[in-house]
Formats: sequence, structure tokens, C-alpha cells
Amino acid sequence: MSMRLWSFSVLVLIVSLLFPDTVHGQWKLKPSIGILQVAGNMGLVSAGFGWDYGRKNQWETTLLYGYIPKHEGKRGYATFTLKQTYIPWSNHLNDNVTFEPLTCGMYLNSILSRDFWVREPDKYPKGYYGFSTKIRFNIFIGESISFYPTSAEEYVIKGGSLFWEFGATDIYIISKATNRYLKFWDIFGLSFGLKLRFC
Amino acid sequence: MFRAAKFLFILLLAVSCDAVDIHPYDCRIRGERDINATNIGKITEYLNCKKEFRFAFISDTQRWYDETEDAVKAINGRGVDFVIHGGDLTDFGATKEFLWQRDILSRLDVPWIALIGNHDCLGSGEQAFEAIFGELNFSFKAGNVLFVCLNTNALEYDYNTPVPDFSYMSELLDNIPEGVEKTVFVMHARPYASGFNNNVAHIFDRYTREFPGVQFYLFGHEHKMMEKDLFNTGLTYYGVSNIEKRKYYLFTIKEEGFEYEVVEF
Repeated sequence: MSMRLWSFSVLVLIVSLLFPDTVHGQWKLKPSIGILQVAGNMGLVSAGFGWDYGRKNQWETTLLYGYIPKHEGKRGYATFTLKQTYIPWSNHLNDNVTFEPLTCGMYLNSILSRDFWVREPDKYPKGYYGFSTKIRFNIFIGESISFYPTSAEEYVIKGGSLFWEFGATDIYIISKATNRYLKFWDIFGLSFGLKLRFC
Repeated sequence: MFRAAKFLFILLLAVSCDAVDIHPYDCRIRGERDINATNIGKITEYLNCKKEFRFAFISDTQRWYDETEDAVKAINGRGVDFVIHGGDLTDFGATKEFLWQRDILSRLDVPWIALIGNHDCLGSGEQAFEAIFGELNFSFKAGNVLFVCLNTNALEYDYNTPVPDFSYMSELLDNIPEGVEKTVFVMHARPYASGFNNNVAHIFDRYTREFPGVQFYLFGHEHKMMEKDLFNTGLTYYGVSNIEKRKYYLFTIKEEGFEYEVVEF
């Protein structure tokens, strides 16, 4: 699939999910989370939105748009991330604060540039590389602390969470698998972020 | 407020140190850069007018960090004057892969230089290569020998980028450094290999032989040891295996001719 078609499909998906339900006059799937993340193999800074769901809201799905500065290269890149988080426990520290001792999950990141491909272009002999340069699969494990000010209930935002994660991307994990030389910090990176929780 | 400030501070601290990963293709380069220019300066100065010297040739070290480390240990103490890497330092063209390789190869006790391989061209790899190592086509003088290192990974480029770059070769041919009597060509993909622009294989052969006293050609890419007189000119193309096979070439340039051996480690 060409990049333009791919981007368009994602856009259609997002719009169709958000489109107001004409019967009830409400958003079908109003986002419940706004997210800002620093680093994590998805860009220097990424921002997006998503939803929490499940019996205890233990599942979160977020979409992020990130930016990679050019650093020592010649150009920067934009990225798109689809992130799935699982938060099994939430401990009440007091009426307004909860601590989540474990968050974990995975995400797919796509760098948005023609210099990268999902499947090898036709010019290569079949199976020349056998991997995608565009799509990266990431895993992470982390924690978070959430604040729910009592006064916030009547506003748009009911609370927020600070989170921190250790994450690794597929090509680093594959590299580590066959090399003693690579150490934990070579393949894992620290990432931080902020989630706003909408009413 | 205090909490927020503290968080922001930790965040900035983490971003500024190496604990964070921005993206595999971020071209964020910490540590030494311009490796080739720096080391070429050392090689040219040290070998000056020498007519006999030794060098090691390795290639295709991508994702074989342990073996690359062993190769460095094996080469150190062998009395070589410099080391040439024939390209494919990385498997995916990711920035960190270049840095991991650079950090291992920098433990060589002699100057070393690297060429770009087809895998190094992937994604933002070419940009990272240029920042860490330098130009894709370059040459240097070692003693009385001119080493011409060429990007031959034509399959990675469109027609708007000439690979191999005959304009570069032409300009070099018009400006052969003083004292050069012999020439050695180094490339990642040899003529007739996948990735080479085989439409110009013969032209490449003829053009390279315009250079003074061509001794031999070196290449990598095919992950096996090879010796081929590709164009029946009496000049041999020597291919080195990937580092996983734990082999490298040791070449000795003599006043008359040259000697070589395959070293296993």
C-alpha cells in the first residue's frame, strides 16, 4: 500500500471513530485521554489522544504524532504511533492521588517519509533485506502517578497522570539476542509523559 | 507546582543524557565524528614516503558485535599500519548500530577507515554515515599508494545519484597526489554483484585502469572469501567474508608487488 493511501486509511478510521452518533447527538467514541510523551523511540516529543476502557479502565489505546529533530543528519522526520497500554493495578494513596506500580504494553511506530518502506521496493531481488525500515515494534514497562483534584470534576479535565517507561525497539532487541557485547542501557531507553484525563 | 518543576528538571536531565532513545533513525550522534578524515590524516602522515606497509581488510560486521570485538583483538598486535572496513557496519541503517560499531572499532590500536555498504544506506543510514565517517567517495595516500574508496551500492540510489561516481573518479584522476605510484580500489559491492550498476561494469573496469599502477581491488558484500580476475586483465578482485566467519585479509604492500594472507581468528 502506498504511503498516501495508508495515511488516508488511518485518517478515515480516526474520523469514523469520532464522528457524532446522529441518533443520540453525541460523539460515538469521544477520546478520554490526551497524551504527551518525550522520547521512547517515537520522536523527541509526541502528542496525541486515545481512550481508556475495560472494567477498571485498565486498558488504554492511544494515537500519537511525533517529531524527530534532524540532529546531526540532514532532515527531521515525523512519526505516527499506535500504542496499547495495560495498567493492571491502581493504588489509592489518598482521595486525590493514585499510584500505578506497573504499566506495560507495546506500540507500533511508523516514520512518515518516502525514504523508508514497509515492504521492500520492487527494485530489490526478492527477500534482499526481509524487514521493514518504516514500521518498528516496541515494548515497554513502567509506572505512573495520577492526580484527580476534587475541584476538577466540573471542568473538561478530571485529572492527569505522569508516567515513566523503559522501552526497547525490535531491532535493538534482535541485536541484543545474539551479542553479549550489548548491555541493558544499549537497548532500553527511558521515556516520560503526561496524560490528561477528560470528563 | 514544585512537583511539576522537579518532574520537568528530571525530564530535561534524562533527555540531555544518554538514557533516552528518541528514534532508531534519529541521527543523534554522541562521541567521535569525522572518523575517516581524522584517521586518513594519521595514515598519510605516518606512512609518508614508505614503500612497504601492511593493512588489514574486514567487512560486513553488521549485527555481529561479539565477532567484531574479537576481530579488533585479533588485529591489534599484528603489526598492521591501518585497517579498512569494506562497509555494512549496520544491518538496518539505524544510528545506534553505527555508534556501537564505531565504539568497538575505535579500540583498534591503529587508524581505521570505513566505506558505506548497502545496509548502511537504509533509512537515515546514509546521513548518519556521512556525519560519523564522512564522504561516501574518498581517497587517501598511504606511502606511495593511492587508496580509492568508492560507493558502489547503486541499487540503493536513483539515477539522480551517480553510483559509481565517474565524475569523482575523473576529478581524482586529474589531481593525483604527488608521490603516488600505485593504486588500490576499495568498494562494498564488486562489479557483477547484486547492487552494482552492472550496465557500467566494463566501463568501471576500463576507467579504474587509467589510474597509476593498479595493484588490486577489494570488496565485501557477498559474505564469503573470493578471489576473481573479473575482467581478465591480470588484476584480482579480493572479496572478504562477513566477520561472522571470523576471517580477515592481511595485505602487505611491497616495494615490488604485494603479499596477502587470510587470517582466521
